Amino acid sequence: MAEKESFITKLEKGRAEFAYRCVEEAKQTFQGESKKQKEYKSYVKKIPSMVLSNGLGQTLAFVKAKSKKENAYDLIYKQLTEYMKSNHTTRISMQQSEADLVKWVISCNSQDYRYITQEILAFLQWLKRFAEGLIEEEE
Amino acid sequence: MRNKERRIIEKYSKDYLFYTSKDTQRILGSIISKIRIERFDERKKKWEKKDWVYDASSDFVKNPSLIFGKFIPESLVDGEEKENKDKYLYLVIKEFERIKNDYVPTLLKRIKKTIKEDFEKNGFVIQDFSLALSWRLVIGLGASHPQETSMTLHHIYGIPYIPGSAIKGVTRHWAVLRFAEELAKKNNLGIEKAIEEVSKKLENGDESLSLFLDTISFQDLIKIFGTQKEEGKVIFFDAYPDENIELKIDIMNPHYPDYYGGDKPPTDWQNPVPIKFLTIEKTKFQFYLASRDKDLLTKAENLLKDALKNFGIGAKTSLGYGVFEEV
Repeated sequence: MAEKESFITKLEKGRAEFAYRCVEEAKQTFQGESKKQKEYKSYVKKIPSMVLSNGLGQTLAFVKAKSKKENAYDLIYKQLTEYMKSNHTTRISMQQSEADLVKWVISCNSQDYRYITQEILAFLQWLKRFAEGLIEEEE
Repeated sequence: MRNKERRIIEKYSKDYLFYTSKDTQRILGSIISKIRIERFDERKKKWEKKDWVYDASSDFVKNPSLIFGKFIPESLVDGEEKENKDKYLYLVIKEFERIKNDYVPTLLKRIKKTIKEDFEKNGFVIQDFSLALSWRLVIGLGASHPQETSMTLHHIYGIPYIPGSAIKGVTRHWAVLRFAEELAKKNNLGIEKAIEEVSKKLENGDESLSLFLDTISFQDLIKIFGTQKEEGKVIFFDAYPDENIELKIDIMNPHYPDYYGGDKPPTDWQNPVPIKFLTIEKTKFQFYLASRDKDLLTKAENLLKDALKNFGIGAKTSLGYGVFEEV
Protein backbone atom coordinates (compact mmCIF):
# COMPACT_ATOMS: atom_id res chain seq x y z
CA MET A 1 0.00 0.00 0.00
CA ALA A 2 1.26 3.44 -0.86
CA GLU A 3 1.83 5.80 2.01
CA LYS A 4 0.17 8.75 0.35
CA GLU A 5 -3.22 7.95 -0.88
CA SER A 6 -5.13 10.47 -2.87
CA PHE A 7 -8.26 11.89 -1.36
CA ILE A 8 -10.45 10.15 -3.90
CA THR A 9 -8.94 6.73 -3.22
CA LYS A 10 -9.51 7.12 0.51
CA LEU A 11 -13.02 8.21 -0.13
CA GLU A 12 -13.88 5.28 -2.35
CA LYS A 13 -12.21 2.86 0.05
CA GLY A 14 -14.23 4.21 2.92
CA ARG A 15 -17.43 3.86 0.95
CA ALA A 16 -16.54 0.37 -0.14
CA GLU A 17 -15.76 -0.72 3.39
CA PHE A 18 -18.99 0.73 4.69
CA ALA A 19 -20.98 -0.93 1.93
CA TYR A 20 -19.30 -4.26 2.62
CA ARG A 21 -20.29 -4.06 6.27
CA CYS A 22 -23.84 -3.19 5.27
CA VAL A 23 -24.18 -6.26 3.08
CA GLU A 24 -22.68 -8.40 5.85
CA GLU A 25 -25.25 -6.91 8.20
CA ALA A 26 -28.03 -7.74 5.76
CA LYS A 27 -26.82 -11.34 5.62
CA GLN A 28 -26.73 -11.51 9.41
CA THR A 29 -30.14 -9.95 9.84
CA PHE A 30 -31.79 -12.20 7.28
CA GLN A 31 -29.93 -15.33 8.19
CA GLY A 32 -31.82 -18.38 6.98
CA GLU A 33 -34.31 -16.19 5.12
CA SER A 34 -33.12 -16.47 1.56
CA LYS A 35 -36.24 -14.78 0.23
CA LYS A 36 -35.43 -11.60 2.16
CA GLN A 37 -31.78 -11.75 1.14
CA LYS A 38 -32.83 -11.96 -2.48
CA GLU A 39 -35.21 -9.05 -2.00
CA TYR A 40 -32.43 -7.00 -0.44
CA LYS A 41 -30.25 -7.66 -3.44
CA SER A 42 -32.88 -6.82 -6.03
CA TYR A 43 -34.00 -3.64 -4.23
CA VAL A 44 -30.42 -2.41 -3.97
CA LYS A 45 -30.12 -2.94 -7.71
CA LYS A 46 -33.39 -1.19 -8.42
CA ILE A 47 -33.00 1.93 -6.27
CA PRO A 48 -30.26 3.73 -8.28
CA SER A 49 -32.34 3.74 -11.44
CA MET A 50 -35.28 5.02 -9.46
CA VAL A 51 -33.17 7.87 -8.12
CA LEU A 52 -32.19 8.82 -11.64
CA SER A 53 -35.65 8.71 -13.10
CA ASN A 54 -37.73 10.05 -10.22
CA GLY A 55 -35.40 12.05 -8.03
CA LEU A 56 -33.97 11.24 -4.62
CA GLY A 57 -36.75 12.57 -2.41
CA GLN A 58 -39.41 10.68 -4.30
CA THR A 59 -37.37 7.47 -4.15
CA LEU A 60 -36.63 7.72 -0.44
CA ALA A 61 -40.28 8.42 0.25
CA PHE A 62 -41.09 5.28 -1.71
CA VAL A 63 -38.55 3.17 0.21
CA LYS A 64 -39.86 4.53 3.49
CA ALA A 65 -43.46 3.85 2.54
CA LYS A 66 -42.52 0.28 1.67
CA SER A 67 -40.59 -0.42 4.86
CA LYS A 68 -42.33 -2.56 7.39
CA LYS A 69 -40.70 -3.95 10.47
CA GLU A 70 -37.82 -6.25 9.60
CA ASN A 71 -38.17 -6.20 5.82
CA ALA A 72 -35.47 -5.47 3.26
CA TYR A 73 -36.63 -1.91 2.47
CA ASP A 74 -36.52 -1.09 6.16
CA LEU A 75 -32.92 -2.23 6.43
CA ILE A 76 -31.88 -0.35 3.28
CA TYR A 77 -33.44 2.84 4.60
CA LYS A 78 -31.65 2.41 7.90
CA GLN A 79 -28.31 1.77 6.17
CA LEU A 80 -28.65 4.79 3.91
CA THR A 81 -29.33 6.91 6.97
CA GLU A 82 -26.29 5.48 8.75
CA TYR A 83 -24.14 6.10 5.72
CA MET A 84 -25.19 9.72 5.42
CA LYS A 85 -24.36 10.18 9.10
CA SER A 86 -20.98 8.45 8.82
CA ASN A 87 -17.71 10.23 8.09
CA HIS A 88 -17.26 8.52 4.73
CA THR A 89 -19.20 11.14 2.84
CA THR A 90 -17.78 14.16 1.12
CA ARG A 91 -19.18 17.69 0.78
CA ILE A 92 -22.17 17.00 2.97
CA SER A 93 -23.18 14.80 5.84
CA MET A 94 -26.20 14.36 8.02
CA GLN A 95 -26.13 15.68 11.57
CA GLN A 96 -26.37 12.99 14.24
CA SER A 97 -29.31 14.87 15.72
CA GLU A 98 -31.36 14.47 12.54
CA ALA A 99 -33.89 11.71 12.95
CA ASP A 100 -35.33 10.89 9.58
CA LEU A 101 -33.45 10.71 6.28
CA VAL A 102 -36.20 11.79 3.92
CA LYS A 103 -37.27 14.64 6.21
CA TRP A 104 -33.72 15.90 6.24
CA VAL A 105 -33.29 15.53 2.49
CA ILE A 106 -36.36 17.58 1.67
CA SER A 107 -35.37 20.27 4.15
CA CYS A 108 -32.15 20.95 2.23
CA ASN A 109 -31.72 23.45 -0.60
CA SER A 110 -31.17 22.47 -4.24
CA GLN A 111 -27.41 22.42 -4.09
CA ASP A 112 -27.21 20.23 -1.01
CA TYR A 113 -29.95 18.04 -2.42
CA ARG A 114 -27.81 17.40 -5.47
CA TYR A 115 -24.78 16.62 -3.33
CA ILE A 116 -26.77 14.10 -1.33
CA THR A 117 -28.01 12.52 -4.54
CA GLN A 118 -24.44 12.12 -5.81
CA GLU A 119 -23.37 10.75 -2.46
CA ILE A 120 -26.12 8.17 -2.21
CA LEU A 121 -25.61 7.03 -5.80
CA ALA A 122 -21.87 6.60 -5.18
CA PHE A 123 -22.57 4.54 -2.08
CA LEU A 124 -25.24 2.43 -3.79
CA GLN A 125 -22.79 1.53 -6.51
CA TRP A 126 -20.64 -0.24 -3.96
CA LEU A 127 -23.59 -1.68 -2.14
CA LYS A 128 -24.83 -3.14 -5.42
CA ARG A 129 -21.47 -4.73 -6.19
CA PHE A 130 -21.14 -6.37 -2.80
CA ALA A 131 -24.75 -7.48 -2.71
CA GLU A 132 -24.23 -9.18 -6.04
CA GLY A 133 -21.02 -10.79 -4.86
CA LEU A 134 -21.91 -11.83 -1.33
CA ILE A 135 -25.51 -12.90 -1.56
CA GLU A 136 -25.59 -16.18 -3.42
CA GLU A 137 -28.21 -17.25 -5.84
CA GLU A 138 -29.78 -20.50 -4.84
CA GLU A 139 -29.62 -23.34 -7.29
CA MET B 1 -82.10 22.87 -8.55
CA ARG B 2 -78.37 23.45 -9.09
CA ASN B 3 -76.07 22.71 -6.20
CA LYS B 4 -74.12 25.64 -4.92
CA GLU B 5 -70.42 24.91 -5.03
CA ARG B 6 -67.32 26.71 -3.88
CA ARG B 7 -63.64 26.07 -4.31
CA ILE B 8 -61.21 26.76 -1.54
CA ILE B 9 -57.45 26.70 -2.01
CA GLU B 10 -55.79 24.73 0.77
CA LYS B 11 -52.75 26.26 2.33
CA TYR B 12 -49.58 24.70 0.99
CA SER B 13 -47.34 22.56 3.24
CA LYS B 14 -50.01 21.91 5.83
CA ASP B 15 -51.98 19.49 3.73
CA TYR B 16 -49.69 18.38 0.97
CA LEU B 17 -46.01 18.17 0.20
CA PHE B 18 -43.51 17.59 -2.58
CA TYR B 19 -40.54 15.32 -2.01
CA THR B 20 -38.01 17.67 -3.54
CA SER B 21 -35.49 20.14 -2.18
CA LYS B 22 -36.76 22.98 -0.02
CA ASP B 23 -36.58 25.74 -2.62
CA THR B 24 -38.29 23.66 -5.29
CA GLN B 25 -41.05 22.82 -2.83
CA ARG B 26 -41.81 26.50 -2.38
CA ILE B 27 -42.03 27.08 -6.11
CA LEU B 28 -44.09 23.97 -6.73
CA GLY B 29 -46.37 24.85 -3.84
CA SER B 30 -47.13 28.19 -5.38
CA ILE B 31 -47.77 26.63 -8.80
CA ILE B 32 -49.65 23.49 -7.87
CA SER B 33 -52.36 24.01 -5.33
CA LYS B 34 -54.79 21.68 -3.67
CA ILE B 35 -58.39 22.76 -3.96
CA ARG B 36 -61.16 21.71 -1.64
CA ILE B 37 -64.56 21.56 -3.25
CA GLU B 38 -67.46 22.25 -0.92
CA ARG B 39 -71.16 22.10 -1.58
CA PHE B 40 -73.90 23.81 0.31
CA ASP B 41 -76.19 21.32 1.97
CA GLU B 42 -79.66 22.83 1.74
CA ARG B 43 -81.14 20.79 4.55
CA LYS B 44 -78.32 21.15 7.04
CA LYS B 45 -77.82 24.76 5.99
CA LYS B 46 -74.04 24.46 5.93
CA TRP B 47 -71.10 23.95 3.60
CA GLU B 48 -69.75 20.41 3.39
CA LYS B 49 -66.60 19.06 1.80
CA LYS B 50 -67.41 16.91 -1.21
CA ASP B 51 -64.17 16.41 -3.08
CA TRP B 52 -60.75 17.83 -3.78
CA VAL B 53 -58.45 18.26 -6.78
CA TYR B 54 -54.93 19.36 -7.58
CA ASP B 55 -54.76 22.32 -9.85
CA ALA B 56 -51.86 23.94 -11.64
CA SER B 57 -53.41 27.23 -12.50
CA SER B 58 -50.47 29.30 -13.53
CA ASP B 59 -50.34 30.70 -17.02
CA PHE B 60 -47.20 28.98 -18.27
CA VAL B 61 -46.97 25.52 -19.76
CA LYS B 62 -45.48 22.81 -17.57
CA ASN B 63 -43.88 19.54 -18.57
CA PRO B 64 -46.32 16.69 -17.88
CA SER B 65 -43.51 14.15 -17.72
CA LEU B 66 -41.93 16.03 -14.81
CA ILE B 67 -45.19 16.23 -12.92
CA PHE B 68 -45.75 12.57 -13.66
CA GLY B 69 -42.31 11.34 -12.65
CA LYS B 70 -40.65 13.78 -10.29
CA PHE B 71 -43.05 16.33 -8.84
CA ILE B 72 -45.74 14.17 -7.38
CA PRO B 73 -47.72 15.95 -4.68
CA GLU B 74 -48.24 13.87 -1.57
CA SER B 75 -51.31 14.43 0.50
CA LEU B 76 -50.64 14.58 4.20
CA VAL B 77 -54.22 14.34 5.37
CA ASP B 78 -55.05 10.94 6.75
CA GLY B 79 -58.02 8.93 5.60
CA GLU B 80 -59.35 8.98 2.07
CA GLU B 81 -56.96 11.69 0.95
CA LYS B 82 -53.95 9.48 1.40
CA GLU B 83 -55.04 7.74 -1.77
CA ASN B 84 -54.34 10.60 -4.11
CA LYS B 85 -53.18 8.70 -7.14
CA ASP B 86 -56.10 9.40 -9.40
CA LYS B 87 -56.05 13.06 -8.35
CA TYR B 88 -52.51 13.57 -9.43
CA LEU B 89 -52.91 11.50 -12.61
CA TYR B 90 -55.79 13.80 -13.36
CA LEU B 91 -53.43 16.73 -12.84
CA VAL B 92 -51.03 15.22 -15.37
CA ILE B 93 -53.88 14.87 -17.87
CA LYS B 94 -55.02 18.45 -17.30
CA GLU B 95 -51.51 19.75 -17.88
CA PHE B 96 -51.27 17.60 -20.95
CA GLU B 97 -54.49 19.07 -22.35
CA ARG B 98 -52.80 22.44 -22.18
CA ILE B 99 -49.66 21.53 -24.10
CA LYS B 100 -51.76 19.64 -26.62
CA ASN B 101 -53.03 22.87 -28.06
CA ASP B 102 -49.82 24.72 -27.39
CA TYR B 103 -46.70 23.34 -28.99
CA VAL B 104 -47.54 19.71 -29.74
CA PRO B 105 -48.96 20.15 -33.28
CA THR B 106 -45.90 22.12 -34.42
CA LEU B 107 -43.61 19.62 -32.77
CA LEU B 108 -45.18 16.65 -34.53
CA LYS B 109 -44.92 18.41 -37.89
CA ARG B 110 -41.26 19.15 -37.21
CA ILE B 111 -40.45 15.55 -36.31
CA LYS B 112 -42.09 14.37 -39.51
CA LYS B 113 -40.16 16.85 -41.59
CA THR B 114 -36.81 16.11 -39.93
CA ILE B 115 -37.03 12.36 -40.37
CA LYS B 116 -38.12 12.61 -43.98
CA GLU B 117 -35.76 15.30 -45.22
CA ASP B 118 -32.59 14.39 -43.37
CA PHE B 119 -32.71 10.73 -44.21
CA GLU B 120 -33.74 11.17 -47.81
CA LYS B 121 -30.81 13.53 -48.31
CA ASN B 122 -28.55 10.73 -47.18
CA GLY B 123 -29.79 8.13 -49.60
CA PHE B 124 -32.35 6.41 -47.42
CA VAL B 125 -35.83 5.44 -48.47
CA ILE B 126 -38.43 6.38 -45.88
CA GLN B 127 -41.64 4.51 -45.35
CA ASP B 128 -44.25 6.08 -43.14
CA PHE B 129 -47.76 4.98 -42.32
CA SER B 130 -50.24 5.65 -39.59
CA LEU B 131 -52.41 3.24 -37.65
CA ALA B 132 -55.00 3.97 -35.00
CA LEU B 133 -55.36 2.29 -31.64
CA SER B 134 -58.43 0.11 -31.50
CA TRP B 135 -58.65 0.57 -27.74
CA ARG B 136 -55.97 1.70 -25.33
CA LEU B 137 -52.22 1.56 -25.07
CA VAL B 138 -49.79 1.70 -22.20
CA ILE B 139 -46.04 1.65 -22.78
CA GLY B 140 -43.58 1.29 -19.95
CA LEU B 141 -46.12 0.30 -17.31
CA GLY B 142 -43.44 -1.59 -15.42
CA ALA B 143 -40.80 1.14 -15.44
CA SER B 144 -39.74 2.37 -12.03
CA HIS B 145 -42.08 4.96 -10.58
CA PRO B 146 -42.84 5.96 -6.99
CA GLN B 147 -46.49 5.17 -7.53
CA GLU B 148 -45.62 1.85 -9.13
CA THR B 149 -47.51 2.22 -12.40
CA SER B 150 -45.56 4.18 -14.92
CA MET B 151 -45.92 5.23 -18.53
CA THR B 152 -43.34 6.31 -21.06
CA LEU B 153 -43.61 10.04 -21.70
CA HIS B 154 -41.05 11.90 -23.75
CA HIS B 155 -38.74 13.39 -21.15
CA ILE B 156 -38.41 16.70 -22.94
CA TYR B 157 -41.73 17.21 -24.69
CA GLY B 158 -43.88 15.32 -22.20
CA ILE B 159 -45.89 13.56 -24.87
CA PRO B 160 -46.52 9.82 -24.97
CA TYR B 161 -44.59 8.02 -27.69
CA ILE B 162 -43.53 4.50 -28.58
CA PRO B 163 -39.76 4.03 -28.44
CA GLY B 164 -38.17 2.59 -31.56
CA SER B 165 -36.63 -0.20 -29.51
CA ALA B 166 -40.09 -1.39 -28.50
CA ILE B 167 -41.29 -1.27 -32.12
CA LYS B 168 -38.30 -3.21 -33.41
CA GLY B 169 -38.58 -5.70 -30.55
CA VAL B 170 -42.23 -6.46 -31.10
CA THR B 171 -41.71 -6.82 -34.87
CA ARG B 172 -38.86 -9.22 -34.32
CA HIS B 173 -40.83 -11.23 -31.79
CA TRP B 174 -43.75 -11.46 -34.18
CA ALA B 175 -41.47 -12.58 -36.99
CA VAL B 176 -39.96 -15.29 -34.79
CA LEU B 177 -43.42 -16.58 -33.91
CA ARG B 178 -44.60 -16.66 -37.51
CA PHE B 179 -41.45 -18.35 -38.79
CA ALA B 180 -41.55 -20.86 -35.96
CA GLU B 181 -45.07 -21.72 -37.04
CA GLU B 182 -43.85 -22.41 -40.56
CA LEU B 183 -40.93 -24.47 -39.27
CA ALA B 184 -43.19 -26.51 -37.00
CA LYS B 185 -45.46 -27.30 -39.95
CA LYS B 186 -42.58 -28.16 -42.24
CA ASN B 187 -40.52 -30.35 -39.92
CA ASN B 188 -43.29 -31.61 -37.70
CA LEU B 189 -41.81 -30.06 -34.56
CA GLY B 190 -43.43 -28.87 -31.36
CA ILE B 191 -43.99 -25.10 -31.41
CA GLU B 192 -41.71 -24.43 -28.40
CA LYS B 193 -38.83 -26.28 -30.02
CA ALA B 194 -39.42 -24.41 -33.26
CA ILE B 195 -39.45 -21.02 -31.52
CA GLU B 196 -36.20 -21.86 -29.79
CA GLU B 197 -34.52 -22.89 -33.01
CA VAL B 198 -35.72 -19.87 -35.00
CA SER B 199 -34.74 -17.32 -32.37
CA LYS B 200 -31.34 -18.90 -31.85
CA LYS B 201 -30.60 -18.90 -35.56
CA LEU B 202 -31.83 -15.33 -35.96
CA GLU B 203 -29.62 -14.21 -33.10
CA ASN B 204 -26.53 -15.85 -34.51
CA GLY B 205 -27.25 -14.90 -38.10
CA ASP B 206 -27.28 -18.55 -39.10
CA GLU B 207 -28.56 -18.61 -42.68
CA SER B 208 -29.09 -22.34 -42.91
CA LEU B 209 -32.88 -22.18 -42.50
CA SER B 210 -34.70 -22.12 -45.79
CA LEU B 211 -38.09 -20.82 -44.73
CA PHE B 212 -40.50 -18.44 -46.38
CA LEU B 213 -43.37 -16.37 -45.12
CA ASP B 214 -45.24 -14.96 -48.10
CA THR B 215 -42.26 -13.41 -49.93
CA ILE B 216 -40.04 -12.91 -46.89
CA SER B 217 -37.18 -15.35 -46.49
CA PHE B 218 -35.39 -16.12 -43.25
CA GLN B 219 -32.26 -14.54 -44.72
CA ASP B 220 -34.24 -11.30 -45.13
CA LEU B 221 -35.07 -11.39 -41.43
CA ILE B 222 -31.42 -11.61 -40.49
CA LYS B 223 -30.71 -8.60 -42.71
CA ILE B 224 -33.62 -6.57 -41.34
CA PHE B 225 -32.88 -7.06 -37.64
CA GLY B 226 -29.12 -7.50 -37.75
CA THR B 227 -26.89 -9.60 -35.53
CA GLN B 228 -23.98 -9.13 -33.16
CA LYS B 229 -21.67 -8.96 -36.17
CA GLU B 230 -23.69 -6.82 -38.52
CA GLU B 231 -26.15 -4.03 -37.92
CA GLY B 232 -29.73 -4.29 -39.14
CA LYS B 233 -30.46 -2.81 -42.53
CA VAL B 234 -33.75 -1.24 -41.49
CA ILE B 235 -34.04 1.62 -38.99
CA PHE B 236 -37.06 1.63 -36.71
CA PHE B 237 -37.93 5.13 -35.50
CA ASP B 238 -39.86 6.18 -32.43
CA ALA B 239 -43.55 6.47 -33.23
CA TYR B 240 -45.31 9.68 -32.29
CA PRO B 241 -49.00 10.30 -31.92
CA ASP B 242 -50.67 12.04 -34.79
CA GLU B 243 -53.30 14.75 -34.31
CA ASN B 244 -55.38 14.30 -31.22
CA ILE B 245 -53.92 12.53 -28.17
CA GLU B 246 -56.31 11.21 -25.54
CA LEU B 247 -54.94 10.34 -22.10
CA LYS B 248 -57.23 8.40 -19.80
CA ILE B 249 -57.02 6.99 -16.29
CA ASP B 250 -57.59 3.27 -16.20
CA ILE B 251 -57.73 0.76 -13.37
CA MET B 252 -56.67 -2.80 -12.79
CA ASN B 253 -58.17 -4.66 -9.92
CA PRO B 254 -56.52 -7.86 -8.68
CA HIS B 255 -59.30 -9.76 -6.93
CA TYR B 256 -57.03 -12.03 -4.89
CA PRO B 257 -54.25 -9.80 -3.58
CA ASP B 258 -53.29 -12.18 -0.75
CA TYR B 259 -53.01 -15.04 -3.19
CA TYR B 260 -50.77 -13.18 -5.66
CA GLY B 261 -48.67 -11.49 -3.05
CA GLY B 262 -48.56 -14.12 -0.36
CA ASP B 263 -49.46 -17.59 0.67
CA LYS B 264 -53.24 -17.61 0.98
CA PRO B 265 -55.56 -19.47 -1.37
CA PRO B 266 -57.54 -17.39 -3.89
CA THR B 267 -60.73 -16.93 -1.91
CA ASP B 268 -63.64 -14.60 -2.56
CA TRP B 269 -63.50 -12.82 0.77
CA GLN B 270 -60.36 -10.85 -0.02
CA ASN B 271 -60.71 -7.15 -0.68
CA PRO B 272 -59.59 -5.97 -4.09
CA VAL B 273 -57.68 -2.71 -4.13
CA PRO B 274 -58.06 -0.91 -7.46
CA ILE B 275 -54.72 0.24 -8.94
CA LYS B 276 -54.88 3.25 -11.20
CA PHE B 277 -52.68 3.79 -14.21
CA LEU B 278 -52.36 6.10 -17.16
CA THR B 279 -53.24 5.04 -20.71
CA ILE B 280 -53.54 6.50 -24.20
CA GLU B 281 -56.91 5.94 -25.84
CA LYS B 282 -57.97 5.66 -29.50
CA THR B 283 -55.07 7.72 -30.74
CA LYS B 284 -53.52 7.65 -34.20
CA PHE B 285 -49.78 6.96 -34.31
CA GLN B 286 -47.33 7.72 -37.06
CA PHE B 287 -44.69 5.04 -37.69
CA TYR B 288 -41.48 5.54 -39.66
CA LEU B 289 -39.03 3.07 -41.13
CA ALA B 290 -35.93 3.84 -43.13
CA SER B 291 -33.54 1.73 -45.17
CA ARG B 292 -31.26 1.92 -48.17
CA ASP B 293 -32.92 -1.21 -49.51
CA LYS B 294 -36.46 -0.63 -50.76
CA ASP B 295 -37.30 -4.30 -50.89
CA LEU B 296 -36.30 -5.00 -47.29
CA LEU B 297 -38.16 -1.88 -46.21
CA THR B 298 -41.45 -3.10 -47.66
CA LYS B 299 -40.97 -6.48 -46.00
CA ALA B 300 -40.23 -4.88 -42.63
CA GLU B 301 -43.27 -2.66 -43.00
CA ASN B 302 -45.54 -5.62 -43.63
CA LEU B 303 -44.15 -7.47 -40.61
CA LEU B 304 -44.56 -4.42 -38.40
CA LYS B 305 -48.13 -3.79 -39.52
CA ASP B 306 -49.03 -7.43 -38.90
CA ALA B 307 -47.45 -7.33 -35.46
CA LEU B 308 -49.30 -4.16 -34.48
CA LYS B 309 -52.64 -5.44 -35.75
CA ASN B 310 -52.46 -8.97 -34.40
CA PHE B 311 -50.07 -8.98 -31.48
CA GLY B 312 -50.12 -5.50 -29.99
CA ILE B 313 -47.41 -3.47 -28.33
CA GLY B 314 -46.81 -2.41 -24.75
CA ALA B 315 -48.39 -3.83 -21.61
CA LYS B 316 -51.54 -5.93 -21.27
CA THR B 317 -51.68 -6.97 -24.92
CA SER B 318 -53.55 -10.14 -24.01
CA LEU B 319 -56.41 -7.91 -22.85
CA GLY B 320 -56.51 -6.05 -26.14
CA TYR B 321 -54.35 -3.12 -25.10
CA GLY B 322 -51.86 -1.83 -27.63
CA VAL B 323 -53.55 -3.37 -30.67
CA PHE B 324 -53.83 -1.17 -33.77
CA GLU B 325 -56.13 -1.07 -36.76
CA GLU B 326 -56.07 0.59 -40.17
CA VAL B 327 -57.32 4.15 -40.15
